[in-house]
Amino acid sequence: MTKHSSDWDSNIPKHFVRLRGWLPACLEIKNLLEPNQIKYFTLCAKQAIDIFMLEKEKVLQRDAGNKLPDVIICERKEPDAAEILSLVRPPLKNAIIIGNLHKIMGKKDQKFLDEEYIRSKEGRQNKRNIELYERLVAEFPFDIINLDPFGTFLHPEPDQNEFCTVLDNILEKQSEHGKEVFLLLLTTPLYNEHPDTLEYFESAYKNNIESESSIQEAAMNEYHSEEFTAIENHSNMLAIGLLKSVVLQKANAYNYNCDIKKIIHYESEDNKPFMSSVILLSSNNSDTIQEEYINQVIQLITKEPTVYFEQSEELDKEVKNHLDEIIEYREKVRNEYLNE
Amino acid sequence: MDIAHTNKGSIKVADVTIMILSRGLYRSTATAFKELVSNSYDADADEVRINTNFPEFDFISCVDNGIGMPLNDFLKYFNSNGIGAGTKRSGQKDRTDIYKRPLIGRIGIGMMSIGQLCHSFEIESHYMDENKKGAAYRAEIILLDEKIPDREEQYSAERDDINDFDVGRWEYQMIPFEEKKKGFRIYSSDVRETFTNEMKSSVDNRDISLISFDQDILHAKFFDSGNKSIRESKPYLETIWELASLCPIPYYGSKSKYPIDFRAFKSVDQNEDYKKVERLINQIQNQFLKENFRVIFDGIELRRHISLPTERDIIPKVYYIEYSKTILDNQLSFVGYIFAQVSKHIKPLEVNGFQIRLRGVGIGGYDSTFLKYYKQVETVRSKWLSGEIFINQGLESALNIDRDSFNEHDEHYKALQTFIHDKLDTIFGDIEKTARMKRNEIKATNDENIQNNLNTIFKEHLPEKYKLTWIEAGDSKPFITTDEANKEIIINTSVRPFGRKRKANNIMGNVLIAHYISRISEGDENKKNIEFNTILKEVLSKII
Repeated sequence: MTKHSSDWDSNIPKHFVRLRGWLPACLEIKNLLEPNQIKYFTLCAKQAIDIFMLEKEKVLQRDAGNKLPDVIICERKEPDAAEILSLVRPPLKNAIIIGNLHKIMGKKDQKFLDEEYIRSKEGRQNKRNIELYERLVAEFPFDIINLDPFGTFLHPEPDQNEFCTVLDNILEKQSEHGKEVFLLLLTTPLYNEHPDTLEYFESAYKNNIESESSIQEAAMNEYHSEEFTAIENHSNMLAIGLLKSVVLQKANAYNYNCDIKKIIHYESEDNKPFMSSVILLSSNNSDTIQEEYINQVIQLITKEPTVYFEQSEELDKEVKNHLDEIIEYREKVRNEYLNE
Repeated sequence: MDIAHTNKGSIKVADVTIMILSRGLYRSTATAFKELVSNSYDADADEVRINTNFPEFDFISCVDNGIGMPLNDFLKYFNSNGIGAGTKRSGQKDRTDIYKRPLIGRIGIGMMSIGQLCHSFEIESHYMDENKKGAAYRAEIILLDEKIPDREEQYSAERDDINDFDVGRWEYQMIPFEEKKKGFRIYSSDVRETFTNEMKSSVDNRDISLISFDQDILHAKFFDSGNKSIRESKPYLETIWELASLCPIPYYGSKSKYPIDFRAFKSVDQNEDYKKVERLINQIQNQFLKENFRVIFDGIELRRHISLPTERDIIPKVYYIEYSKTILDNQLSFVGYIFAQVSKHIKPLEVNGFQIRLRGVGIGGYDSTFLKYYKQVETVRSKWLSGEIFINQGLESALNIDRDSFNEHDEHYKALQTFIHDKLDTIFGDIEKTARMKRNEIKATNDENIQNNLNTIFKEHLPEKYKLTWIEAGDSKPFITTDEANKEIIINTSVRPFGRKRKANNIMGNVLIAHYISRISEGDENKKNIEFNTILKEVLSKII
């Protein structure tokens, strides 16, 4: 089975996630929102494969000026930002947001800093983050949000976790703009979690089991036990815990239902586990939101995750071919604008 | 200091003059970027991509795929010898290793040009070391904006201190080598607000939609918009145009049309100079294409946008220049062309004058003073010329540190200047002659047209069966006579009461004809007067 490579152009497991997880859902939401242009927010990583995949598959479309509008990229690493710009401009229309997303989102309500401070490098960076925050919030709402940061969402106190806070901010902004339906692609490592994380998830799971008989029944049917540890697989425990206690909870708080389309487990080249989830959020301002939440928890408990390393070698070949086609397409786009 | 183990330090300069670098040496954004491009060219890159994160301009990156900068060179640059003690062209090396391009850089200060646009920046280099193994490092360079001594302090400093000023600090770390990233990169999000604000203010929402990656659209913006100056396109597009004009890259468009549209020349004008210039331009274009060097700015592959003639209804002329001589034991040789469009101004004005290109790179923009030619200072004719001079050998010693201007007292520069001025003496005489001929032709055509119009007016008002005849009957005969038998009104064009004053003669004559015709027309005095007024009005509207 192919292992994860740090070169995204040859990373088969990651592309499996794109091909079998992200793409079908993106096509679905594109059909749902047609004829409107899809607005896409991504932390795309330096080889920008998701962008070219979505453009090739016509989820993202060029405008009359042959530019790719409505794609907002956030990249924290400057070397990678330089790489991304080299690849995606043209045809990308918008500027990239270069900075740490959690630091940018944390600039809500901040004013400009004093003159003395902004003459230092740190001060200038802070000022930039404030400006980037203004720029980013002006771009909301999005139809597809690809949250694949370099970092984990796992923490026993989600409000202390920067990425959970980012997720919260994003949901808040989407809700503020009255976004009725959108897709969330959320990726996180499933290791190096805080020591108390599992305990937190277990406690929350127990609360759900004790307060809702339908959840208890679902757990019994699936795992033949009410215990959180009956989930057995460590990755599954973390995935279910995160999605239930963080994602569903936060979505619920902003009156969104979550339809979890897919959960994919895969590994990095050094055998570290990762999870990518594909969630369709739809607004629900009615009284049924709580009931829907319970259904979503049940859906989560009973959902069979897709595990990359249980797939076949034939699939590997299919994924590799698809990835190669996207890379070829990316190079074609790059060369399209060069003089002969 | 052990180079191998030091991974941070302060930035030294080898010369107090070079200390000015971090305060800004380059006259414009384009000239600062030009330095980075030159470095990529010298590193045998076939592609250099500059991005400014348009339309926010809050990030600058310059990424090339050349041979990179080995760590030892970086450490020499910033540490042991200081900036300006570069060895790029020391010894015999005058060409790059792979593409054999003529090396542009000399003393190794070009990288610091980005200091004009950013407070701090990072570099990343992936290269093959002396053992042919891949190696890479990343370094951060922070420039001190405020603590640098100003000029007075520099000159009043003790001699021993002059070479010891710190202008910033640096820190590097080794990183894994990546074959795909082979080359050199500079990037910064710590961009100076002055750059960001200037660029942002020059691009509005309409521009964001309209600015295209398409060369043809870009070219039309520069040349077909009717603008007098590229500056009217505002700083962002101006930067693109200027950078392109300075880089060692091909011309925009097809050979027979750009930079000179040879189709504008009639066969009779295709003289020896014409043929030489046509050959020269083909040669230059082929050379640049062969060098396979692409400069891509915000996704736009740059080309040198020159389009001559810039107006219609002109007479194009072209002059070939060539020079080769030893001056003070050093050879100076150059070739070039001077294009003249008689008789309309070259537009945009940035293409008026001569640009000198040294090793393929533009040194400054087009000099509309023609190297300070004193005989045609801001005249109408001086606005008709555009040219390029390609230095093959020499003139290096005249190049100022900004690589954007020349030391005017350098012997090679003086020789170039003298040659060009001598050439201009002849050229201005020639184009004046052409302009006079053109004026006369136009005048003759205009006169003929006017007379035809007047004849038509007179014929319309002539009594029936009368006709007008024009003859030269000598100035002793009357101006107007009538041959009743043949119903002919004869106008004697030899009569010129105002001597050589053509216009006065013309007006007088036509007024008299109008009066005469009205006198012989039918009707009472009142009607004749009205007829006279009518004819006069029609006639004067054509003449005046």
